[in-house]
Amino acid sequence: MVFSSMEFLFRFLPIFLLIYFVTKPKYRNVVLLLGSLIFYAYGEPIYVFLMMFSIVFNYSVARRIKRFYDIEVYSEIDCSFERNCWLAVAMVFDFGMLFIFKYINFFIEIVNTAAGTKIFDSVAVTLPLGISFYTFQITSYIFDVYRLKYQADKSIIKFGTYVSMFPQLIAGPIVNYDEVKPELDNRETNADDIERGATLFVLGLAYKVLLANKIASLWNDVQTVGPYGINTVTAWLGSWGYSFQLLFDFMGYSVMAIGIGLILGFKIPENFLDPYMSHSLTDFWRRWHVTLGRWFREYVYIPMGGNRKGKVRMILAMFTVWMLTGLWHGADWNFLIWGLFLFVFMLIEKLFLGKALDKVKILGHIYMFFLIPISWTIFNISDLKLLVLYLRRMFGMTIEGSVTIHAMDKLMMTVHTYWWLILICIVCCTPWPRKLIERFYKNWICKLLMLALFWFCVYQIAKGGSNPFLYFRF
Amino acid sequence: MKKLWQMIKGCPLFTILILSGIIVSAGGYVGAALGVYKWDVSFKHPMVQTVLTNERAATGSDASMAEVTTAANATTEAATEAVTEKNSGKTTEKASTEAAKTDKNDKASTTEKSSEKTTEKAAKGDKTTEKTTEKSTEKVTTDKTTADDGDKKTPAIDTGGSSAPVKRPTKYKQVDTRKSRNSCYRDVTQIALETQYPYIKVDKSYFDDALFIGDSRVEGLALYSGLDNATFAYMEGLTTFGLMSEKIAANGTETLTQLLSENTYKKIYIMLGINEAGYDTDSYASTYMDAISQIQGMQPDAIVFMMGCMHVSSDYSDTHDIVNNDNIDDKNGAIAAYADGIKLFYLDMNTAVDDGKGGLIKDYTWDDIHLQAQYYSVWEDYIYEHGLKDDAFNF
Repeated sequence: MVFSSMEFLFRFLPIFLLIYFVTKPKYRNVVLLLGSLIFYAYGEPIYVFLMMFSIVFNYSVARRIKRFYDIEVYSEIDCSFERNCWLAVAMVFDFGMLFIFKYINFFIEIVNTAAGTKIFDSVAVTLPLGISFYTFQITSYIFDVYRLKYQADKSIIKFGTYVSMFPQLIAGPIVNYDEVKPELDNRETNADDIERGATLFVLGLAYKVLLANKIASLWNDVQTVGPYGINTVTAWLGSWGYSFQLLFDFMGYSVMAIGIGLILGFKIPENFLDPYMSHSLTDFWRRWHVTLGRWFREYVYIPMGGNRKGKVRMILAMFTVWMLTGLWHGADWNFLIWGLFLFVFMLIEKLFLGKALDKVKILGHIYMFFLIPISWTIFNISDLKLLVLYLRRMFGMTIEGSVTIHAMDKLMMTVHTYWWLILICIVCCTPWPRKLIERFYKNWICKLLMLALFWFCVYQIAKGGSNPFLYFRF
Repeated sequence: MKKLWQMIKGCPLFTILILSGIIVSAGGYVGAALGVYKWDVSFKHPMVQTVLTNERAATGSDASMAEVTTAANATTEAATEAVTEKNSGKTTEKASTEAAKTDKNDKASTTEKSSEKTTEKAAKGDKTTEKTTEKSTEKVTTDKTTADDGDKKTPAIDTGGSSAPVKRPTKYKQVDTRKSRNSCYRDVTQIALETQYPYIKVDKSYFDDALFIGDSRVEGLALYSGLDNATFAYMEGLTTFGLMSEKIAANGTETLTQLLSENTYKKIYIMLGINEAGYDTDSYASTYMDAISQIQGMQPDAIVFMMGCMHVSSDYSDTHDIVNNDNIDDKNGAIAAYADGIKLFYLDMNTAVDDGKGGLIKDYTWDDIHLQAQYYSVWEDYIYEHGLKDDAFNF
């Protein structure tokens, strides 16, 4: 069930909220947990048991790690071996599950290619919804309990609620336990938060339905023709179209999650800080999918030594982080190439370019104007042959067998169709629309506007039929 | 209670959203129960249905539906009868007998009858028609005016006099019954191939006086094929319902009616159908034929080639209940039945892009629906190989 579906907007959400607000605050966690499981089971009737098992398993591992700490404190017996063992067990289980469901076939393909013969047959597994997201939440919890950042929670209900909370379950943000712990213990519903949440939800919905879903057809148009029939400008336009689609799709989802969170009484962290306003790739990744970058920094980059153990260690840590980031987004070669691309540019920025880009912001924006679409093109095209062709087209290189006599006509038609939508997208990339709405959300005119926006979105959803989230299958 | 009111006052937008959502939902359910809205197979929620019903009325599709029926009434009785007979799915045999009554050329009617029954017989019929065609075309030329009059009234079935040109039936291929997955099309038992004719390969100048009409697929043909001497009239999302009224010609500045009144063409190629997938086959075919009779009325010297709608990829077809190849085959079959092989031909380029399972070859397409730029040449080649001899234009 995606947020921008009729089932969610007109069935799940109203019924859930009704029950939620009628219930005494003491039992609201239970309601939220059950609601989230139903929400998840609607899309994954079988894998919901995997998630439930994972919750129970990790809960007990965390409890055990805590117990060994307690034993250590009271009896002064060194229990670090047991603790390490339990940490390892949890990691093997969590990342093992992720590996089996997400990477097994990619791994088999690599092994088969390396061996030159068919050693293993590919396995028929489908990716459970949101497994990448909730695995990362669970592992951050285990790590933090192990590092004594906070204590393992006594209540499995709270832990279960933290993992499965439906606003962020299937497409993030990746929340840290200590961020929601106070609210899990005791949260107050406050009319102002609810109103702000509703406003943000409508805004997120509009990002998704009115911008992402609409601009999506730009990339589709360009790809339908294919690299043989377009010219360089059209290729860039298509890539920018996809860049907008990805941003508003994903950001829309995150904003909706934050909105629902507010309505329920949670403060879910921001995930997008106007990434397309960045002036370097380093800056970009501090603004894009913030909670994922944070996870990699905290649990991979810093444990590997970060930038404190000399340049070589730093480069190694960076390489690991960006290759893993690539892999996290999908099990395919283009994601590895994409990760490598990010690593190379990050490194260049760290070593030479960064200071200049920070200083002369306008230069940085121009640089990002080209880097963003290239990066998302690599991200998007998993067919390597097609990827090469498309990049060749972007860089103005010739492609044998091109049919580009009318490529200019195609460009004019594309611009003619999309110019206004592109303009709106550009405006919405700046921080201003959201800032204005958050500033004036108490104003009646703004409220009426949001109401109209909501029903316009509903109308579009009803008309459009299907609209799967790009970030849905993770 | 007071606390609740305070709460509600604090968040009016939220309250209104929830309330209006509940009201509309409830309204949808009540409306469905009272029979105001109908439940749709693909959109189960009555709320959605409310919106959709409004949408249809707004874009005028319902209005054009009404037009369809009047248009169908306007055509001669014989044609309508044949349509309803065929579309009610009884048998094609009966329809062809119906046609046979109006047709005085016994030989031609018998070949048509037999060819529609089985492929085996069709093959035999093919030979016979070719013979009869060659004999009769010369005879026919003298009787041009009578044939024209007949065609204006009924594009589909030739009601011309005793010396009317010989009809060339469409070749069909029988297939195992494929069950319909949506009410907008019927079970498919046969696939229309093409009008039987000894096609010849032509050169580029053949298309100097050709006009191509269609939707986004024809747009692709215009942009990525080498047919730059032909005229093109296309619009993304074009349907038979808007064929005559939408501004599709001269870079979106003229309607087809305007274009046809200003120029003369000898060959008019049309491909539509993908955007009409959600409409039922009957109304698709009858609007199509109505539009063709208008086109023929304005271009009496032209031969119209209806190109069967191009398939979608097999993957796409398997996973879509409405836009799928069974639906396309049903719609293609319905229009192909009207082709007479004199002034109205049916061509099917699907044979050139077939993946062996009745779908568009996956490598040729990115979105499962359109050819990629470099593969329009395949379609182009098909058109080059399906030219008519000069004498075919003397009817």
